[in-house]
Amino acid sequence: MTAATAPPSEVLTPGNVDELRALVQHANQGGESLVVTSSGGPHYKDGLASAEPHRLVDLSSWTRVDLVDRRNRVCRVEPGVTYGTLLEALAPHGMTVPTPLAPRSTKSVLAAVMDREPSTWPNKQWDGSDPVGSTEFIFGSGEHFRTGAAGGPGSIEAQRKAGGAQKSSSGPSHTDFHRVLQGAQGTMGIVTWATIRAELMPSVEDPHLLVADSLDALIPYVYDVQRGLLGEQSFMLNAQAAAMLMARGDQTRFASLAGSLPAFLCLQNIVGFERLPEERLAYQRDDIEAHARRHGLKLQPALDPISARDLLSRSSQPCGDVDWRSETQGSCLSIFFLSTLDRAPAMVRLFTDCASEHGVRKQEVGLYVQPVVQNHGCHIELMVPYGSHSSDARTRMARLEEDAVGRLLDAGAFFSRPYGTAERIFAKNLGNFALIRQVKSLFDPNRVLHRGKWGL
Amino acid sequence: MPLDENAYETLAGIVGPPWVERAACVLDTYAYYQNPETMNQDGSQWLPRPAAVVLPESAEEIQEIMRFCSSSKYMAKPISTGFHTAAAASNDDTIILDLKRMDRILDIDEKNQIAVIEPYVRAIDLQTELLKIGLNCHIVSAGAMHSLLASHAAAWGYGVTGSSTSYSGRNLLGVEWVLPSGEIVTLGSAGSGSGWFSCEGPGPSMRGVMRGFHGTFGGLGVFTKCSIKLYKYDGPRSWDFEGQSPNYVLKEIPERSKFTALAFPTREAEKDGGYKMGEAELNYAEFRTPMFFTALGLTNNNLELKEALDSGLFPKFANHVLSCAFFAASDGEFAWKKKALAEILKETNAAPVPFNLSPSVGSLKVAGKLLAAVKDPLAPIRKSTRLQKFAESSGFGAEQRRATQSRLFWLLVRNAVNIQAAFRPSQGMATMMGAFDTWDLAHAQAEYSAKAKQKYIEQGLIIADGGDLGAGGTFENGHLGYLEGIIMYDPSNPASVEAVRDLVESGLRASIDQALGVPIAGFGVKANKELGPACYHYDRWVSRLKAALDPNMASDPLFYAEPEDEP
Repeated sequence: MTAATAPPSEVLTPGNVDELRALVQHANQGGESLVVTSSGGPHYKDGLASAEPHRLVDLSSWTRVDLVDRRNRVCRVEPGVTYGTLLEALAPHGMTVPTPLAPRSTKSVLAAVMDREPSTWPNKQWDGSDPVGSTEFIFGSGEHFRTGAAGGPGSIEAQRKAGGAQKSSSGPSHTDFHRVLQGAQGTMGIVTWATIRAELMPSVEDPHLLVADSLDALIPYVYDVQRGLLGEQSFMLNAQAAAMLMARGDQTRFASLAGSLPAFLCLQNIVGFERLPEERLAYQRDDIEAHARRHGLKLQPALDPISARDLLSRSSQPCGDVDWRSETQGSCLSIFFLSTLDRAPAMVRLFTDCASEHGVRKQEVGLYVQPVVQNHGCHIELMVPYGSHSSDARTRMARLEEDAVGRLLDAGAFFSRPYGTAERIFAKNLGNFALIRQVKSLFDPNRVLHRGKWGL
Repeated sequence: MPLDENAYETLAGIVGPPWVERAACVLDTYAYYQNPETMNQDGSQWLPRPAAVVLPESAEEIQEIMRFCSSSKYMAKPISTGFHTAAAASNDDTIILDLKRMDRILDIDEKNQIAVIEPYVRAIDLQTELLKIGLNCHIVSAGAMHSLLASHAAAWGYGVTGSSTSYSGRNLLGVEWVLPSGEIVTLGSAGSGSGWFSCEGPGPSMRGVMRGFHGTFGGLGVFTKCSIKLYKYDGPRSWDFEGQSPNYVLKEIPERSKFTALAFPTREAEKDGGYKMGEAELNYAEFRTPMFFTALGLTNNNLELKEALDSGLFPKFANHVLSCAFFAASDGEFAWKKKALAEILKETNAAPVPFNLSPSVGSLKVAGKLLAAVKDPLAPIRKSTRLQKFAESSGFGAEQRRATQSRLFWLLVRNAVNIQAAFRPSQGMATMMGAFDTWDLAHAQAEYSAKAKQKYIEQGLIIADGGDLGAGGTFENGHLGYLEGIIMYDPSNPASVEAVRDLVESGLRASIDQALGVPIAGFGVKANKELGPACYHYDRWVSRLKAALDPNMASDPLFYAEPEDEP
C-alpha cells in the first residue's frame, strides 16, 4: 500500500563479508542504491519497496549459526538464519530464543530483531534493543564496524579465549550504533551477523488461557503478573485474531473458531527450568492464580475449541511460508504501534470506530496486544483480513489505513517501526528526524542504502 | 580566563544575575573532584578553574546558553551531582552549567513502572518514594546521592542490584536533549507525544549516538529530562532501626528477605555460582566483596581493619565472596529460592559466612590463632547444611547476625555508600579494567588487575589489599557480568599517584593486547586515540558526530571527542 515502486534492476547474492563490502563500495562509487533483504519472501510490510532505481542484495543464503554458548546463553546468527533453523540449533543445548508471534518460516531472525519486532516473551526483554547482543555491519559508506563487546579490542577468537562471548550490546565506548541500525529498515548499514541472547529451554510447561468479555478486564491482571516478572510467554488476542492464528488458513475452522472463542483471551505460560522445575512451576502457578482470582479471572488449560498448549505451540513456532495474518483471506491490513497497556483499550476503540466508518465490522478486526520490555510498553496490532484479489478491497483498506493511522497518531500511538503510511510519525518530531538525517549523512553519505526511504 | 563582561551580561540576562557566579572562591569548588591527580597529566590535584558557573532552571534557558556558546569562545559543561574528574571543565573558557535547580521528580507512573526526572534528582530522592510502592531504580555504586539522569543519560556506572535492575545505560526510556546548537530534541515515544515509555525510534534510534556505553560526559549537549525504567521491589516498604551512625541496625529482618555473604572456595566456583544463581533468577542484589572489602565492611576504622587483616583469617575464607540480598513476593517463591540456593551452595561447595560470629578485633585475633593451622575455616560449614542453618537461624549470635544483615541491607538496598569510609585506608581511589560482557570475562579482568597490582603493593606504593579488588557482580539474571579493579593509593604521594597511572594505562594496554574489552577508563579524547584503532575506529565516528552536531564547539569535548581532524 505504498506509492509506486521500482523493481530491483538486479538481485545480488554476495558470498561473504568482503564481497558485500566490495559491493557497497562499488555502489558508492557508481552512485547506485542498494536495498537489502535477509528474509525469504513474500515480504508483507513492503519494507523493501523503493521508488528509486536500485539493486537488491539478498543475504538469505547466509545461514550459519556458528556459535551456541550454553554457559553464557548466547548464539550467533547470520542474516539468513530463520527461526526454525535457530530453534533447532539451540534445542540440543537446552536453550531457545524469544520469537515473534508465529513468524513466517522464511523470516530472518536477524531481520526481526533488527526491526525490533516484539516477541511473545516479555519478561526476557530487558531493553528495547534485546535480544541483540553484538553485531557486525557495513556502513552505507562501505566502512566495516562491530558493535557491543564484539567491537573490540581483539578478534572474536581472542575475546572468547579471554572469557568474552560478545554478549554485551553496548559500545564500543561512546557508541551504541546497533541501536541506530535497529529500526532503520536498511537505511543505515547492513548487518552481517549478530549475537542473540538465548534463554533456557523450559523443562516443564503449564500454559493457560484467561478469558474476558473486554480487553479492559484482562489488563489489570497482565499488569500485576508482568510487574512480578511471573510466568513466561504471554500475550492477548481477541477472538478474530486467535481464530486467524489457529485456523491455519482453513476457512471453515476460522469461522467456527471466530464464532466460538471468547471475545478476548490471554495466553499465560508457566514453566520450570532446569533447577527444581516442578517446584518452580508450582509456586509460580499459585502466585499467578492468586492474581487471576483477584481480578475475577481464571486460569484454564483449554477452552472448548483450543487449548493453551496448542496456542503456545502455534505462537512459538514458524507458521509456514504464508504469514498467519494472511492465511484466511489472502491479505491482511496490519497496523501496529507501541503504547502502554492502560492506553490500549482507547486505541482499539478508536480503530474499530474508524474501521466501522470504512465498512469494516467490529468482529472483522483482529487484535494482538503484546507487552514488551518487561511490560514497560506494549505492541498493539490491529488486523483486518481481506481478499488479495479484490482491487476494491485493496482500495478500501488503503483508505482505512490512511485514516486510522492519522487518528491513532493524533491519539498518541507511537509508530516506532514506521511502515507505509505510518511514516507520517516522523513529522511529529522534526528535531529527531533532523538528527536522523545528520546521522544518515555520516553513515551513508552517498545515500546508497535504500535511497529515498522516508525521504532519506 | 574569567568571564568577560559581555558574556556575563548575556548569561545574566538568560538566567538572572544571582545564578551566574564568577567569584574565584566559588569557581574553585568546581575544580576539585575525585582522584584528580591521576587524571591530570601533571599530577596536580586542581582541575582548570571554569570561566563561570551558571545555574539554569529550565531547558529553555539551557537552549539559550548553548546558542550563546555556539557563537562565542566559551564552551558549556553540564554537571548535576558531580563526582568524578570527568565532571570538571577542561579549560578556563568553559562555563559550568550546574543543574541543581532542576531537581523535580516530574512523574512516577507506578502502573507502567516509569519515572520522569530532572537532572538533580538524586537516586535516594526517587528511591525513597519508589520503595514505598514496591518499585526500585538502578543506583550506581557511586552511591545513592548520585544524579539518576547523569548515570542513565550521560555517564557510566553500575550498581549492586544489577542482577534484578540491569544497569542505568540500558534503563533509559526517553530523554530531552539540548543539542550543542541549542535545538531541543526529545528522543523516543515522548518526542512524538506518546508518553515516556520508549527511547527507541521512530525508525533508527538516536539513543545510539546520544550515549553509547560510556556516555558523552557533557561533551555533546545537555540532557535536561529523562525517563527511566523502574523494577519490582519485593523487599520491605518500611523498616524500623536502632543504633547510631554509621551502624544502624534493623529492628527486625523483614519477612521473605535474606541477606547473606556466600563464600566460594575458588574463583571457578565463584564464577559457576554467579551463573547458576543468575539462571535461577535468585538474586535481587549482589556485590562481589573481595577479601579486603569484607574486612573493611566489618570494621569501623583503619586500626581495626589492620588488626582484622593481621588475624590472617580473611584470606582463608573471603577471597571469593558474593554478598547477596534475596526477596520474594510470596512464601512459595521464598521457599523455592531458599531451596534453589541451598542446591547451588552444595554444587559449588560454597558456604554462607556465619554472621552470628562476632567480627570484633579481639575475637578475630583469638580465632586467627586458634585456626592458624586450618586452611579453610569454613570447611565444616561447607559440608553441613545443619551448620549452615544453625549459623543462619539459631538464637546463638542472633544480635550480631542482625547487625551484619543490616549492613547488607543498607548497602544492597539503600546503596548507602559512604565513599569516604569505603576508601578510608588511603583516601585515594582509582579503578581499572571494567569492561562489560560475561561474568567469566569480568573475572579475567579481576585476575589481570590483581596480578598487575602486586608489583606496586610490594613497593608500598598502593594499599596492600591482596590485589584482587574486583568489585561488581552479575547483571540481568546472569546474562552479563562486570568487575572493575579498585586501587587504593596515597593522593599526597606522587610515586603512588604515578603507580596508579601506570596501572590504569597498563590495564588499557592489556585490554587491547589480551582482548579484555573496553575498560571503564576507555572514554574521552585521549583514550579514544588509544582504543579506537583496536575497536573499528569508533574514535573517528564519534569525532564525525562531534563535528556534525557541535560544529562550533559549544560543548566541552575533553571527555567525549574532538571534532574529526582526518582529511
